[in-house]
Amino acid sequence: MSDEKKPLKITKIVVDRDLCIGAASCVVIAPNTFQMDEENKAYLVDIEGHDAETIVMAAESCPTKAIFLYDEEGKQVYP
Amino acid sequence: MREIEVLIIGGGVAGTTAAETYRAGGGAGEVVIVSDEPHPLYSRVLLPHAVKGKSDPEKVFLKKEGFYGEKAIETLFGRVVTRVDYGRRIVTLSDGEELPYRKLVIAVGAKPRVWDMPDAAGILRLQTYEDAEAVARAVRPDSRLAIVGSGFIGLEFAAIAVAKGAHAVILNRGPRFWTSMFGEEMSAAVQASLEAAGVEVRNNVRVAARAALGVRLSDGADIACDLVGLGIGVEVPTAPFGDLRGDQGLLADAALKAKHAGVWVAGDCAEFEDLRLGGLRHVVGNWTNAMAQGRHVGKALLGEEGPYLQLTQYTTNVIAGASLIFLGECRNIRGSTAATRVIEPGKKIVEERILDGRVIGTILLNAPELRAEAMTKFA
Repeated sequence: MSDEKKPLKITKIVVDRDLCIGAASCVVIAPNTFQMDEENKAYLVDIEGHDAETIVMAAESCPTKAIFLYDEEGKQVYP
Repeated sequence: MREIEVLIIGGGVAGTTAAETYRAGGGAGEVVIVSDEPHPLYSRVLLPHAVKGKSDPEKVFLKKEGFYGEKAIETLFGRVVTRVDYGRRIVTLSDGEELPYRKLVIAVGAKPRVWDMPDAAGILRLQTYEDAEAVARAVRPDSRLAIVGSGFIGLEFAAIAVAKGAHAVILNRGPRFWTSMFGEEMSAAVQASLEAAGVEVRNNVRVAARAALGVRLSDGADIACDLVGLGIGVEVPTAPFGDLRGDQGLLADAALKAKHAGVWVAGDCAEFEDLRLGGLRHVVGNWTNAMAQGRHVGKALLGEEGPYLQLTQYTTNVIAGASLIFLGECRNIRGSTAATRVIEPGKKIVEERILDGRVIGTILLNAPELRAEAMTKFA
């Protein structure tokens, strides 16, 4: 196994609808990946809408930490 | 003598993100955050939610105490900056301690305006963790809450009253709701949503005096209330920052750099040139922008400099029927005009703010599906 860090690949995104308060910061940072639905909750539109760095930034920008990110091995990478 | 590589004034989301970004990018040397608040980073956005009992008060803390040590970020919490000497690169604290820096990030945010009435029990604010605790304790189902001001915090107070079953009356100085941004149709629609939620709205009134059990208005009317919620706006604390003081905040260029060497400004205190709005100089006060600017400055500290190009957007939907999205600069600034498009009368309205032939702001009322289209109008 190499010690070299593989580039992060996000393979699963979960938005917790109970935590989401509709602040929409994820939509501001990553509009191709997240949108708001009729109830003003964020939902996933395209996991490949942005690169991993932008998606992580979008998740980090959530003031309620409602976005959960997982990598290829199914490991939770955020929060 | 000690020299701090990166000194950050302000422990909110802008300052904390700057420090975190700097460390994540391999930034070395001493990093110090000075904050006048005694807490690790918490989410101001979540405070109203916690007040309503919809989330655990502990959940508002986004960083645990241990975070700072892990990232080798020293914290000076509960300390106040009184002066910056940009020539000697020294920040002075209120207790006289001097902190020499190589690079300085000013991310002090904004503070609630001082009300011109004497402070007393029952007067509530909603900015800090302690404010939120006081609001949570005070507002009960039998409370009568008079809300001074009709801005974003006024709406939050109204929503808290609704959630707790208390009575609320908004005391608005303007002739209609939110005149600083809204056209007539939108003012009427938002006021109607508030009234439908049981909130009373009084326009064209000023508080003239505070009585033992209420407030007296400028028109002589008495409003019985046991609580007063203040939402009268914020001010950037400019005093320690000398000649960076601008009209609304602390001056920075389009890359968030101040005019002094090694100094950046980020977040709610930054009066910056917004290249997404044709170079309009303004202050933006919202969570996402503060975080994005903190990240931008964190990268600049690592040598990755460039203009800040995130279009500011803000969403509020605390009152049923009044989902509001703000893009860019929506305030009725000098020389600007507004164009209103009523899609569904009283319900779905779009307002564009135009300056020198360019769209600088868009407000979407109950039209989240139009966000993407609205964004395309900004250069």
